[in-house]
Amino acid sequence: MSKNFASHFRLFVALIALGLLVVGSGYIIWSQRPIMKIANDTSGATASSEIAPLTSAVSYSMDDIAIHNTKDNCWSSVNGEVYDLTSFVYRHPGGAASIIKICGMDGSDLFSRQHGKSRKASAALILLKIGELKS
Amino acid sequence: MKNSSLPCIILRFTMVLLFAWFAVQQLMDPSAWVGYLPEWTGYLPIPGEMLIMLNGWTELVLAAMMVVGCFTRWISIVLGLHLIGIAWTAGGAVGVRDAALALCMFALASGPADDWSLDGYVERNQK
Repeated sequence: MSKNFASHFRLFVALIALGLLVVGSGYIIWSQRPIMKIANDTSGATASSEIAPLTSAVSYSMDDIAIHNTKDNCWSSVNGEVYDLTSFVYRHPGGAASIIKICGMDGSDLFSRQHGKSRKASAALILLKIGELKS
Repeated sequence: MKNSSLPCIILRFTMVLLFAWFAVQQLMDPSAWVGYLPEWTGYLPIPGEMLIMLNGWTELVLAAMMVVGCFTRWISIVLGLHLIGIAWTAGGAVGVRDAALALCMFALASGPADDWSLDGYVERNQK
């Protein structure tokens, strides 16, 4: 067996793996593309109006939200929209405590006080939207 | 098989099992792993589940390359640095464990290519 063959075969295997990595990662990103589009939208339309068609049929009352009041099952409403913050509790850059504080409650005041109109904070929040707050 | 190859083979397959198991778990239930993401990822405009799935898929592909022993040294260094990052972020007992696993990866990277690996096959043919 020539040394070139062995070396080329190893390179071939590495290229196959690289291809799998790219295709697999592409699939993962593609499969969640609608969410990415909303998060990265920089057009005039607000993120909430973009996501509305996906969740417009789902609305929750404050009673529904109140049930989800623990760090392992954390819903909150912010400015008329309902979010499932469970997966975000320990990812919140400001610490878990300020998220746990609003589990099962309306977090509009706290969010506005802390983040104002921060685009970063809104982009992070919009990924977690599950519906609208019943008026 | 030379006896000197045995430690490297055992270490390589052990680390493959470790990464493959964690990768499959992350791909099967990404939401269960989101809590382990560092806080700064909260500001990325990417869902936590997607980050976990991308991480899991990368680990799985690199573990597959390690199974066949393809560029084992480079992959061991990459995965070792990845583990150092996790250890640094996690801290505590988990951090100590992951730092020790990272050192195992660096040990694998610094060792010779074993007889059962593609790297070993290439090296033997180059002599």
